[in-house]
Amino acid sequence: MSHWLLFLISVMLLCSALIVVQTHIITVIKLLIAQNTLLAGYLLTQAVRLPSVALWVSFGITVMVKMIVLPWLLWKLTRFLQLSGRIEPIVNKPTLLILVTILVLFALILGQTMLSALPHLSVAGFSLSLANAFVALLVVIVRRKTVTQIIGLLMLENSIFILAAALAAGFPWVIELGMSFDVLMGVMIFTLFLMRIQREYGSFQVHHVEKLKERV
Amino acid sequence: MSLIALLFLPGVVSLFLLPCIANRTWASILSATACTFSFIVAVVLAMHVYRQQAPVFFFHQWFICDKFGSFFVLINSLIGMTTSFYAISYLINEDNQHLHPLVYRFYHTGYQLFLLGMLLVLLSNNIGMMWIAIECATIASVALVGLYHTKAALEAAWKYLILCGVGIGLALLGTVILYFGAYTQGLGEHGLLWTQLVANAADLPPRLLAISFVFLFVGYGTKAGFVPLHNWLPDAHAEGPAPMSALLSGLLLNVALFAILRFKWMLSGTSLHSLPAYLLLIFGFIGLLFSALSLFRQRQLKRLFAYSSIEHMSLVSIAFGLGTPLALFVALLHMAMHSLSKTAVFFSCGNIMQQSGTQTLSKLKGLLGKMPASATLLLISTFIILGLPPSGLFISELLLILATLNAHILLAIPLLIGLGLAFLAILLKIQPLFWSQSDNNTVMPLKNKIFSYWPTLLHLIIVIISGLAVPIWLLNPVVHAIVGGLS
Repeated sequence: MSHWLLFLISVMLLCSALIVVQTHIITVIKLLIAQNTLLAGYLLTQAVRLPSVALWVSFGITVMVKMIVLPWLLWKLTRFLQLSGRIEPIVNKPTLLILVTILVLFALILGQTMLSALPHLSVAGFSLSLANAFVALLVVIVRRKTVTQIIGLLMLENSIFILAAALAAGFPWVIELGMSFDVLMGVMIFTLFLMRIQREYGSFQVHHVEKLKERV
Repeated sequence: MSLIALLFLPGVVSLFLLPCIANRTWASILSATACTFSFIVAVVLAMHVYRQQAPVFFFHQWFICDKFGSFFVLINSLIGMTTSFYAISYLINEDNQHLHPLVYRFYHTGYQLFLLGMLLVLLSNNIGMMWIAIECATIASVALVGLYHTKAALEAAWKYLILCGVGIGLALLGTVILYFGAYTQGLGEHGLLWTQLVANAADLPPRLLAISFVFLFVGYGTKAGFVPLHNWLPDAHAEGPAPMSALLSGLLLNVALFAILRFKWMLSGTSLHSLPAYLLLIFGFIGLLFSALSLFRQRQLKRLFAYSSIEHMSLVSIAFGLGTPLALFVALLHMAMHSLSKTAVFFSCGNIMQQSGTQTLSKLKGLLGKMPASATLLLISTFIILGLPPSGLFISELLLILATLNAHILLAIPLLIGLGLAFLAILLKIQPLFWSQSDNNTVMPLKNKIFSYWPTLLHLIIVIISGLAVPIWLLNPVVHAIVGGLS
């Protein structure tokens, strides 16, 4: 069972790596939804393995927020902004893949240094979710579109959820509810801003919102 | 009923009431009344906490009010109150074309949510809830920064949201890692309680603590405006409405630093006690020198003072990094004085922007002749923010230099260079505003002037009085609590 959990986290990490190199926004969104589904599967497995109220609530929240509301919102957004088929310029793919590898290795090394302090299995889960967080940061940094910056943030949120659930019982459910609510509110505001950016500039490339800089 | 619950009550009630009130004047008055009520409760709470030895707890120990927290609660609720009064006149004078009618209704709700979020941070003993509260305050303030329907405001809000979103995400990662460590070491669900973490920090794996602290530092540091992560700050200050700039600078930066300090405190009993100090010192000095140099390049009024906020937060983090009782005293004094005087500066900037219709420095000329009252207030508050005597900032900067000299003589050199450069930059940028000849004499008169002047005056008077008679009675108990907690 625990190996199955590690497998799920690894596939989530794979999804993140794929998101980094994808060129179609639609595919990126699909991959994010796939990652959310995997996260729900992970939480379900945890909840079946070690039944506790907190984990079931966490699973419920994840299904509600990450599998129903967020995909629906993103789907509406893609329809509204007419995202299909757009290809965005990014740093070239081999470099990105090398960067991803380096980040994952770094996270694994960081996790290994904690072998003495934590149970063996936790270390694996810990380092993989840390790796996922690093890759998410990479997505926020290298992507040139405002939509993908949000997706990077959502990936970061996902890796934090894995880490929280890698504990036996997860967070107390009130905290979990608060976090999900905040994330949802954040995404709503993002969406509103994206619509405003689209209306003001006619597209949502990052360079439109990079005008406020220091001039010498 | 617990005083802590009573402190939240006005905010919560007004959150429900304000969206229903369509009349702008009534909404402003309700918001100001709620803030006044919570200020009164904050004073009572602070008196209660200062009198007794142990902190006050509430709701399964999820909330804590110790001396350290109540000091900040006091500053926050005072400035929250004066800003809500200032907003009464600011919103009336605002150009209606920039603001959608619905926005007025939205403004007060967002404002109360923002204040409530910050109060929750200051009073939470649960590090998970602390994160939720900071995120809540961030979301509310993002919406308020993007209040104007201009491209620049949109961009500023977007940058704020993305940068602070990443920062806050990292802070959550740090929180989870910390909980992870505490949980596996047998603390269980109590691993989220700050008091439990402080008591048991020495038993937690140091490497895990170090990693989580670095994440928390970078995460909350983004909100506190530490230098490589400061990009959102000048934009958000310059493009948002003036009351928002005042609150961001005067309160939010303090609150973010407060969160970092809570975790610094936690590490002080462990083998890692020097890690936070080094981080604070390094980021403090980088921030000080960077912002001092950046000040020379500013062309906009509020942007200039936004960089000055980075400078002052850097001074505070240097003081906390030094960590001696004198330095702690200086840090707390400087935080309070900076909050009060920077909000006064932004209030008067707001008045001047509304009267002249611009914030570009080269277009603002001969202000003392055109708008004597607003210009005089800006002049005085600029002198105070520059640290001229007899302001409280003069005392705190002087003591900071002494504390730095005590720690190491070499540390004083970059400090003095930074202070000198920042002083020179602000003076050079600001003095042409007041006396130079102006070719354009159009001034839009302010309505409801009284509310735009008295909050500024009140802040200035408090800062000057604190410079003449330093409020040792207010600060010393906090320093003793921190030092006592350390040993």
